[in-house]
Amino acid sequence: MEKFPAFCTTLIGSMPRSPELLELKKQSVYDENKKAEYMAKAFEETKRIVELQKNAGIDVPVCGELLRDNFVSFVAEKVDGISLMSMDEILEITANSDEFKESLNQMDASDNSMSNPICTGRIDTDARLVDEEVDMMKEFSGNDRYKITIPSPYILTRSMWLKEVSQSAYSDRKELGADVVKLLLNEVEHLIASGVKVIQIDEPIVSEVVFQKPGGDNSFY
Amino acid sequence: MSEKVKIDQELKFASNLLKPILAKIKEHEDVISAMHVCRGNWTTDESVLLSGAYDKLSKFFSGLKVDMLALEFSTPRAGEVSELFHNNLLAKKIILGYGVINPRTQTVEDVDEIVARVEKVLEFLPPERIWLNSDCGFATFCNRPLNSYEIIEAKLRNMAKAAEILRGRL
Repeated sequence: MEKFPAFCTTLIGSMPRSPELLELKKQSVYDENKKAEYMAKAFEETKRIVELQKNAGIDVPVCGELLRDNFVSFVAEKVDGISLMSMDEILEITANSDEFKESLNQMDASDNSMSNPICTGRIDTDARLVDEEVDMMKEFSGNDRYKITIPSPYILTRSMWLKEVSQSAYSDRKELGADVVKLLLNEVEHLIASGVKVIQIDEPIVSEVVFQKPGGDNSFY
Repeated sequence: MSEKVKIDQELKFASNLLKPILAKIKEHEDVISAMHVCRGNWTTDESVLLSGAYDKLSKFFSGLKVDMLALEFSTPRAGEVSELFHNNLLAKKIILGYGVINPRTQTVEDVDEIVARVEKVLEFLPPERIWLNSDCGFATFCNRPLNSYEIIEAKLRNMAKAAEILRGRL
């Protein structure tokens, strides 16, 4: 680890997306012609984010995760067998109570601005997750000092398992977890072969396991 | 089933999923594995977020062959770094990605305050095993950015300045 200085500085991953980028993302879902424009804009904004970090003196920059809906749910766009669902859709499927809706209000999570990846079929364990991010970081960092982030197999499995839907493909979340591990093993092999030297696994949800009050609803989005 | 048993079983499930991924990275000596664990940063409303010191996760962390823990420490809800290292051997093996800037506030952290806080970590770890990072991302959810780029840049500059000062003292 000699290549990294003492008190090496880095970030955790995500950066704000511009309204223009978010609008192009929305349009590109319905209009194939907008996809190229969206990717070009993401490329340009990622370049600026890397430059911002370098100019500020950051040793190991990150890409900003601009192409992701969020640090976990983006897998729905990449992996067959995973679909993005809003809180409203989940509430409808699970016939969740008014009490749960109220808890979303209290947790500042009821505005449907945060989507969830849900397992709706057998997942494609050969799918690639962050190829574009690696390509951009290789180009903009100019060296191999950058960090790539991937979601943890636990947060993915826990988030994606919705019994009412996922049981069409997997008998239980343990079986789903085994395929999630395969997906991420394939991704990690690919990242290493591509020359990535720092791989961060995002696993915030273990906090909920230990810090959540007993009987509390899901408090992590 | 008691809450403690449920928690232990759930952490075991999590650990069993993580181990093969970390083992794969470990096969390559020149690749660093890091794990980021925070308490959720989807909102600037502090009252709804989780809080608690990392000592409750130290056993979980100790069981994983991960090179770096990238953790949040810039706010009181995270507890002290001494609690992370209490009664375990984590300080002997890990790199700590020490959270020194809060993505959810507009106050730009003072350079000297960052330096002073990192100096406390030096009681546990050598300089080459201390990294400095933000507590979390600045826009974990694309529709909920937590700060402006003007503030973000100022925070990053101060974090980098603090690192320079600390290196100068070596």
